[in-house]
Amino acid sequence: MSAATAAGALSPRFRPRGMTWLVWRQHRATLWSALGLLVALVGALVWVKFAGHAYLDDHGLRAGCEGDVTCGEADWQALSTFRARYGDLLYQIGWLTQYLPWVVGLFVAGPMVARELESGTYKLAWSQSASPLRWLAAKLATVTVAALAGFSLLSAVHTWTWQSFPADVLTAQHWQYTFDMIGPAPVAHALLAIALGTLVGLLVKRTIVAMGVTLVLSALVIWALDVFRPYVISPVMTLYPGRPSPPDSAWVVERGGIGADVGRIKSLWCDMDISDAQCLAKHGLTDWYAELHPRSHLWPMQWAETGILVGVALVLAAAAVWLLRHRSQAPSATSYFRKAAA
Amino acid sequence: MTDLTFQPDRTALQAVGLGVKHRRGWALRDCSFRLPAGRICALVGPNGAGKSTLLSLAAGLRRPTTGSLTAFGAGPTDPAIRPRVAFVAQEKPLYPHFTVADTLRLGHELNPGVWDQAAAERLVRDGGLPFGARVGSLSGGQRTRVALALAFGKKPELLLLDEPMSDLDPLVRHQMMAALMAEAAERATTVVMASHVLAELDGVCDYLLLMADGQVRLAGEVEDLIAAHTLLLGRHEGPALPPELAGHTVVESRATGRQFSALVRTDGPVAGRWEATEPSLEELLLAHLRAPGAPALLTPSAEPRGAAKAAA
Repeated sequence: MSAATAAGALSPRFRPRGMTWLVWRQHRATLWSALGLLVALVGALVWVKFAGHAYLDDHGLRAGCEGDVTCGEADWQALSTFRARYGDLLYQIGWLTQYLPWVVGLFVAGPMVARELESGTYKLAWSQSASPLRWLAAKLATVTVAALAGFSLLSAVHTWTWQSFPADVLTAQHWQYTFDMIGPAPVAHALLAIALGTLVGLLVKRTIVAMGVTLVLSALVIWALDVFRPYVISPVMTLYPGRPSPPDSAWVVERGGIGADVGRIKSLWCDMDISDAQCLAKHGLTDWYAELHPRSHLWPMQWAETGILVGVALVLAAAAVWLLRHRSQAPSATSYFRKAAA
Repeated sequence: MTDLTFQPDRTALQAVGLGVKHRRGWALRDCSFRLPAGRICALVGPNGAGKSTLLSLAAGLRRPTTGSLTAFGAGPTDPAIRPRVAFVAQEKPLYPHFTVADTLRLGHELNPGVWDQAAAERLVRDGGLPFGARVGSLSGGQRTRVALALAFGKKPELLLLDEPMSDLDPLVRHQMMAALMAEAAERATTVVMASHVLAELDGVCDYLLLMADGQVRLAGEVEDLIAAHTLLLGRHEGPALPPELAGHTVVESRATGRQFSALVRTDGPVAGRWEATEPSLEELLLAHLRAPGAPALLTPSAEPRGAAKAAA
């Protein structure tokens, strides 16, 4: 019969009950679609992993090829085909892994929270036996568990596939370019987006407007993450005798010249006809420098960002709970006192 | 009436100094009244009088700005009170994508321990509604029936209805009102029913709450309120009130030529030659709706009790 009973028959132990049933019944089409998309993406990633490696093995590129020294014309050709056939798909799935968490936030803000407030169905839900807080808790719990499970799986499989290819094979997908697509980052982003969407949905109370506001705020958060991410963990300061030549695997935050008297000059620029040493001397500098994150910073940076974002998400969720309590619950002790005094 | 339905000492709903402030002003202000349990109470007032605000407070959907409202002695948001109160909002909000069966399932899932599936199904079946129909495809009257079925299924002790019959045709309205009264009588349910249709309240409601401008104007037993008023007819000329009425509270007076009529709260016998009759409920309500400035009148049973205790 219906999907709900089908799911119930599938796993009677986990049949949703009470408020969870309501959330499930309201959004089951979306949840099934999300599950379908997840299966498709994970399937595609597994295919990229195995088919991609088979291709590399067939063409003797298991370890990639480094620059002009070991790469022949045929190798370049094969690499180019590999990137078009497998690399691009990997990146596109990574792109979805990066931005789908924010789509979840839009969904929470609009259809999940604001629509009930806009259409008045919250009155129906709240005038049964459970409190408004239970109503919100069931929504948050359902979407959080689904997002945690879904994005953990998607990100894990994406990371597994991405890591299995040598960095030289996928030069456009070094860790600093795929930071948002791997590890715990998508999961942390989803948690933040859910909390943000909940708060905006409760505040704005109009489906479309709430989604618009959440979109704008999400874009701001994404921008802020890009700006501040390199400084969550201090980059490594490295001095160079000549112009800095960090490896491709390093995330260069800042580079330039440095001197005891002048300090730092970022993006130091000199004419082509003078040597690196002359260039430094001309500006009164003593060394070239680069501030960078080596590849080893990937996981510390990921977990630091995750910790911060989960903390912010908890604060936003607490604000949403406070707001709902403030609106719907009995008045605080002070107004009782005021009345008693009157 | 059975003993169950008449419980003068139990309080279903009590407001003390109740106020709700909106952005544009006070929707309710300094409301105090008491509704004894087991009554069928009409909640009457012009648009914007604060009827819906009062009902949503009683349903635990929002909180008051000042004062307190209690249902059966506790706050409406108290976890022990929520299962005992049912509310049907004016616009009959239902999930449009749910079928009728889903909607009743909602009642079952969200009201564990109190849900009466048979009672809810009976009301739906009486209307000939298919259980598989999507709520969004139903007519206004059919949606009202589903919303009422959801409220009935909760077996509430206090049933709050905001304009429940507004989009029903007269035949269905009569039928639903009969079903409502049967349910209420069977379980000694206290019913508060906001309505514009004054005629449908007469003979059904035994208690009255009249509101205007966010304040309670009349509260009490319909019989007692009617008995407290007299409709006077007589001859009088001039813009001023007849001097014989000076000692009484004139709710509303009208003069047509030399014909003068007034609704009066009499304080002893009225001097002069007047034809005195008892007003009908409709006349009482209309006079008060036309004269929102008349002083409030609460019968003894409608006076809040144990205010200090209710505040705790």
